[in-house]
Amino acid sequence: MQFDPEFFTESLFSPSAPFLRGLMMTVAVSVISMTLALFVGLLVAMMARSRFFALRTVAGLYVWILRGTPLLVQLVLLYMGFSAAGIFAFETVSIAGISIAGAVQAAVVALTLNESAYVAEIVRSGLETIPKGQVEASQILGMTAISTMRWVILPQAIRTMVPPLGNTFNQLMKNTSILSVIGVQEMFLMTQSISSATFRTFEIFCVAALYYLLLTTIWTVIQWYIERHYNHKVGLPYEIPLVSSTVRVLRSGRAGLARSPREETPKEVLTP
Amino acid sequence: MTALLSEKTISGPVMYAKEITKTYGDKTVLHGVSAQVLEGQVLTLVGPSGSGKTTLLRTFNRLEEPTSGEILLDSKPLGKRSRSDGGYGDDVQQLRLDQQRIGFVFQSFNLFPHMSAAENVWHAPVRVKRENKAEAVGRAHELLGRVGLADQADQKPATLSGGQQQRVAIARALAMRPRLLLFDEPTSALDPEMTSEVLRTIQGLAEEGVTMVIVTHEMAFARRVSDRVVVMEAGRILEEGTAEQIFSHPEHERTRRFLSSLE
Ligand SMILES: Nc1ncnc2c1ncn2[C@@H]1O[C@H](COP(=O)(O)OP(=O)(O)OP(=O)(O)O)[C@@H](O)[C@H]1O
Ligand SMILES: [Mg+2]
Repeated sequence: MQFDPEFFTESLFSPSAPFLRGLMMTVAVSVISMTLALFVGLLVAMMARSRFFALRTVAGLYVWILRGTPLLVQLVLLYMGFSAAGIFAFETVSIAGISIAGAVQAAVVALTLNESAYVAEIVRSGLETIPKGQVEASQILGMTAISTMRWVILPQAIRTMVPPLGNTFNQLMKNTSILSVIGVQEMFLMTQSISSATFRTFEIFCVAALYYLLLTTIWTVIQWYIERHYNHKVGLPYEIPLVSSTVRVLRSGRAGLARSPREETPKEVLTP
Repeated sequence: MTALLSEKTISGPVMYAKEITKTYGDKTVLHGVSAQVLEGQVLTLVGPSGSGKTTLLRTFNRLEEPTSGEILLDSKPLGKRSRSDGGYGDDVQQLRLDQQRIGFVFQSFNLFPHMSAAENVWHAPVRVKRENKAEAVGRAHELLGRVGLADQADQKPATLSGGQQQRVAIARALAMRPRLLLFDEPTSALDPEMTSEVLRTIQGLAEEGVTMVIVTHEMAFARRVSDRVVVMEAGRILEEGTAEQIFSHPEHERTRRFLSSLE
């Protein structure tokens, strides 16, 4: 076996500037896309609940298409397909003195679209966990549909949405590695170029894996605090040890989308 | 102490339900039922399970839309606005305003779990009626004190007992200064010890002259608190009268049988 421990520790503890830039790109694209996806997803979820058939249909098609096709295909179609067909091309723009490459814009748009479809489904099923009695109680107090959503349904539904939303964000961070195919200089692409320059493929990809693990672990801790915050809000205890919650989040992928709070909370409170 | 009731209006029934029918698909659960409550009176609806008590009560504030019939609140059609042609038409905004004047207490409380007891009580006065927040919060504490929960104002519903939650729900309804309070089996989800504290609270309101309609299976309570009692069976009124008439001298054999089945 060939393993260069010196190169490994060097890359791990004092990574090169290009690697760090890749890391920053990964974080920035993930956070921006997720933030945008939360808004778009909420909008799509509202459309899916609309009284109007046309809006419900549009929302349904949106979710169906974006969840039914691979992110990689969406990404390439958006960045290269559209420009090849002469429909639309992403150009480098400069905002507040920072120039943003077309590929980065395409990446943010593709990730936002893709992620928003998952967010919409999470929001939709989260809203469904709120008992009808809550809507009736709001109605008899004279609240409008919008203020019922704002003050009664959303604040409660958020609690059930945080775990699946957190998991899908976790997934999104890892998925940023495919942005390398359109040349976004994120962590994976940087790792690849270091690898081909140094031939230390094993070492540098171990380092990359550890950094991805660090990102997802940091997020898991943040998510744990957010979950605890929302459980406190409804007067529920939240005493899952951080470690087992970390394991749970890392284990579950997008499969655990629609867990309702009822099947979730008591079990976790009981098992120390 | 501030008044519990909104200002009095013209004499005549506070609420008059006229020939209410309700069908679900091809199943008729209310066959043209009429009922009224006068100012300061307590009307109780009793009857066997499935006789349509809940459905009828829920049409009184149009939480359930009657298939036909009309609800008058202070002699005005509930949730309707007069049209230029002299008739009345449905109006969403008017319905919201009217519904604010009818309090409803659910069997399962339906408190907002993410709000403290006090916030549950002041939320609608502040966010819906745009009352001054400091005053509404003060009044919320006063109302909680009145239902015996002064110490629990900052608790979330999940940490309260069922009886306490139901009393918060009563305070929440009172905070809107309703013309009329509707109760759908307010104690049937409660243990016996908690039942009595809630019934005492409701009886206190009755003594203060709050106009109420109560669906209940607690016959001893119904007898104590009611001015009028309506006995329902299979979507129709079987018998109606004062508490004394219904409980001591029921006319119908079936009323007698229903009452004795509960003893
Ligand atoms: N949404 C609905 N769809 C179909 N049928 C309904 C619906 N709601 C109520 N019903 C039927 O209407 C009838 C009256 O029901 P309701 O709940 O008003 O009775 P109730 O007198 O309140 O009974 P209980 O004492 O058990 O609460 C029942 O036969 C019930 O099955
Ligand atoms: Mg009922």
